[in-house]
Amino acid sequence: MAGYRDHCLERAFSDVMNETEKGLRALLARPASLVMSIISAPLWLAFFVLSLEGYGLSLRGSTLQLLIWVSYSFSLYSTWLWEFGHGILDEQQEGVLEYVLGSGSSLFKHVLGSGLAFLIYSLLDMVIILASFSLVFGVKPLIMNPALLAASIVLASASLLSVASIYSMLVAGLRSSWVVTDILQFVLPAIGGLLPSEFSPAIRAINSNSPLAYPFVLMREGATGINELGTPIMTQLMLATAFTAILLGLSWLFLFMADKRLRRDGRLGLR
Amino acid sequence: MSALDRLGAVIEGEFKIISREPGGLALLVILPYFVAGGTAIIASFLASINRYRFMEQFIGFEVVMLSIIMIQTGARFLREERNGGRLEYLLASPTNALLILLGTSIVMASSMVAAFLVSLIPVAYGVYGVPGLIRSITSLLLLFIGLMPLYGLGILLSGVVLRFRESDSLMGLITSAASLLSGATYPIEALPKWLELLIRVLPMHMLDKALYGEVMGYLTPSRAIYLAVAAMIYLSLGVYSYGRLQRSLLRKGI
Repeated sequence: MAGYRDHCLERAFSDVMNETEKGLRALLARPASLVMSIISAPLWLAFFVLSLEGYGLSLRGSTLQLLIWVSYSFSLYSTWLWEFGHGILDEQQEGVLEYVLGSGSSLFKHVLGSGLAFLIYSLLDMVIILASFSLVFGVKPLIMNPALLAASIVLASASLLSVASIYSMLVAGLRSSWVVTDILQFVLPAIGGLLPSEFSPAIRAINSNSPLAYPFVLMREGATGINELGTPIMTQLMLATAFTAILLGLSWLFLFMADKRLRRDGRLGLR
Repeated sequence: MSALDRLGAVIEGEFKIISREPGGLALLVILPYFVAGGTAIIASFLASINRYRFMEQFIGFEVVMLSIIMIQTGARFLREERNGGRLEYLLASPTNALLILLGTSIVMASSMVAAFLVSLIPVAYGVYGVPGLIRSITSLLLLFIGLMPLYGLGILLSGVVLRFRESDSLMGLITSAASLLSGATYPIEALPKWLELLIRVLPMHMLDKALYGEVMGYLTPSRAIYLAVAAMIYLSLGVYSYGRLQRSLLRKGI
């Protein structure tokens, strides 16, 4: 019995790794697109920061340090929702998911594997953003606690993988799902730890109570070394891990139901 | 069928296509509130923001958003036709593709002008009262004229986009560059001189200044004239460039 269970786990792990490799190959198969995103990043950042200065601000030192992580957090939300969440919908339209299911794999394994590939890709995004801030604004990014920063990025990506996959199953039947995504890419970060708690008591209250916010708060805490919420870091880390595990469980449930529906009547989503 | 009838048919068809996705039009109205509102919220934690400053930034972000869409319109249309295998038929048909491009641009510009009005009215009324409301209606003509050079710029770029394999990524790059070069949401005087000059040559900055000037009630005629002249120059360049592209496509294939 134990041998059979080990075999199943081994098989599942191998399936997920295969999906990860496939996902990475697909993401890196277009080097021109990679170069374009490398060039675009500093342009967007310059636009974003200059637009803030358009309100009469003069951004310096610690504020710019915080803006690095605001930018990266927004980039994570945007990338996971658009590229990953909508990527699943595109795969359905292009018929890729039929082959995935036909191969004996499951929707959850496929999403998890592609998500791991995306996580690696999003690290490249972080490097580009750090380099861009350094290039455009002459800021040397601070990273006070690399281990905490790394853990927070993994937790943030796992949370967003879950949110994006649940979301894509919910909007799969909509004709203009992109409109909802466009709105959500502003709403979700606002309640999900995008803004530093130092900005206002209201933001602090959101960041303390939103399950989505903890990994993003930890990200800034790992980088700047400042405890934003006043709660012990270990407690924050445990809460973030627990919330991420719950989200992953929910994502499994949603994908399992969508998988069954897709096999039964060929349509993605839950409706 | 006269050219005018054909243009009418294209416009009718385009309106039908756009009306299939009312969510897209709703987004044009809502999105400036998210972007201008979001940046205003961030900025408000670091400095005090008054309503006049917000109004200026709101119009600036509107200009950036509409400019991006207008620049992409021509190239996106040609790319979608090519990817769907319809561009060959289009080029082989007796209707000049420029007429079709004109029809699609009129529809897109009209939709954006309408969305701009719906989006601007609450802010203009909130800041300048009834006079602001009236002036936001009169600013629509300026916006329509100001969108034309952007369309010309888009056609000018469509040749490059069509030749590039990763056209989506290139459009992404053009979008980020156009946002930065709009000079609509920040003071351009802080930039290096060459960049400031480039921004002044491009139509987005002047469109922003003209619209904001009109809504405030201080539009100078020189800005309106600049937009009209820019519309002629950029549209001429776009038409010339598209003519060359079409000849090349007919000679060498797509």
